[in-house]
Amino acid sequence: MAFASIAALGARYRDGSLSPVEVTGLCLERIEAYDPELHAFLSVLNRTALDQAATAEVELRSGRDRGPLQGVPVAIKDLMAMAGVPTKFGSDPIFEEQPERDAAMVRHLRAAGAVIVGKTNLLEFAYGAVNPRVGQTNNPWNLERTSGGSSGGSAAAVAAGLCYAAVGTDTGGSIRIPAAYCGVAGLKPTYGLVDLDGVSLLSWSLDHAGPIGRSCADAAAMLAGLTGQPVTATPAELAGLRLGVIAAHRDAPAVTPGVRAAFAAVCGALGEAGALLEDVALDGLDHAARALMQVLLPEASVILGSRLLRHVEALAEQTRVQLELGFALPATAHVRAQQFRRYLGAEFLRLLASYDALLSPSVPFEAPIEDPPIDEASGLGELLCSAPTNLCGLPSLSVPCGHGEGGLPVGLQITGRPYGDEFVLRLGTAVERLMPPVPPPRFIAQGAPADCRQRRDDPLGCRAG
Amino acid sequence: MVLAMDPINLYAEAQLDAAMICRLAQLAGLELAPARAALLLADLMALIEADRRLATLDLSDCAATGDPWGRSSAHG
Repeated sequence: MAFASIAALGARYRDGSLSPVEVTGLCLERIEAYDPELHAFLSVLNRTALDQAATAEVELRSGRDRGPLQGVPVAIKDLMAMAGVPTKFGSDPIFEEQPERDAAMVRHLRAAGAVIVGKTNLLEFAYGAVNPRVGQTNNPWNLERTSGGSSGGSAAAVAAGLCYAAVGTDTGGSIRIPAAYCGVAGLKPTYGLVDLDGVSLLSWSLDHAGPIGRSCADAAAMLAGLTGQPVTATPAELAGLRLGVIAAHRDAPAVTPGVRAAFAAVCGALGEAGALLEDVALDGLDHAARALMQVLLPEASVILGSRLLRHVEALAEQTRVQLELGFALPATAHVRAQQFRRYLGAEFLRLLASYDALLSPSVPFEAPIEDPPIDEASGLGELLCSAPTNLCGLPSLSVPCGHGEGGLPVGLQITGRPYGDEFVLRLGTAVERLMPPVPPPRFIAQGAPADCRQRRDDPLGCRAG
Repeated sequence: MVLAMDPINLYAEAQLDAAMICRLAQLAGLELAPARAALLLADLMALIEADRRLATLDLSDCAATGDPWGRSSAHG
């Protein structure tokens, strides 16, 4: 049951064979059992989650149906305000805030009847570095690897069956990168689709918030909860679909053989299913990752600098470096990169006039041991495929497409037209059906506490243990 | 076209160093110790070089309005 779909959970809630309180209890117990090793959560909301679950249970019994997220345990990244719960930002306690009101997304989730079980770990202020006082979220497929960032806690929690969906934010790939590393679906929606009110920002130009789920259907249910608008992810018809393969991403030197093979396999499967795949090229694409930094650095320094640089000793060194860099970069570099957003966006729109979606690997490699710094020395490789659609605001999904040579998950990135979020998710569902189902992560099978491991097919096994 | 008085070129020609980074940051409101500025030098030079490469594209039709699409031009 811990790995059931949101739809399956909802069906059992509505036929009375399972209750939100039972399922929420299961998630809380799984968090207690597994999170000491994963470190996916910064706050666990036992009491309020059980209260929300009880409310959902009463409402469902009385016929008040709020839709697919009602009574479903979810998590939010800990840079979103939730009234009465501290916001920790993945940073030193000196920066902790005590919000008095909910972020817009939290309001939407409450209205949808979701049960918020906790707030998830992240790279410090979602800015690319682990604060040493907090530590990284370990990957449920291999605890020696990172879950990625910055929404690593959200992705790991979903992958490990600690909740059914989660919210992340994505400024250069921070939903899609951890989704790829953890073997789950993560959508960076169209720019502006999800309201960021009450979210700690990094960049007005690049920030997005979106859903992470174990399937595209679950991510769609979460997106519907976040926006208050219906979203479904019925599988797209593949026959005759025109898909552009971004050759520069597929063939980039940073792409490992395992990722290249997984990407080739999923493209082959799409072709066999009747889709028409062609290589495509975008003028200026090789500038994207660095242009993203030209936009991001000064905006982040303006947004966060005066608040954070008063306590430099409390910051990760890389966070401090990036904040300082933003003060020294000439304004013309920022403006020119803003111009480039339009330039590259026009290139994407030109292709998307001819193709239904564009494909690339989500990340060039499998989960590394630590999150690489987003600097020149590391080659900006982690952002290679994800950064362009932050610049251009296009909906972009990472969906699992197999494993690399290290046995860790690999993601396929699907990019669609502006506001084509639902279609991107539907295409993701079609991909899921072409690929072998993603099993629970290895950690759950091999590394978990014995009581839970032995009873993982029993939804209440951990509770009994 | 890259204008001769483009600040990017001026910075490059002036040979960016830690002292210049201190002054740039100070003008933007941040006091940086020279040792800190020295740590930023390589990354800042790379960013300025990246910007010089961006300037080789014809961006004249692209409005820097801060949103990814909208009004303006052939590239808007």
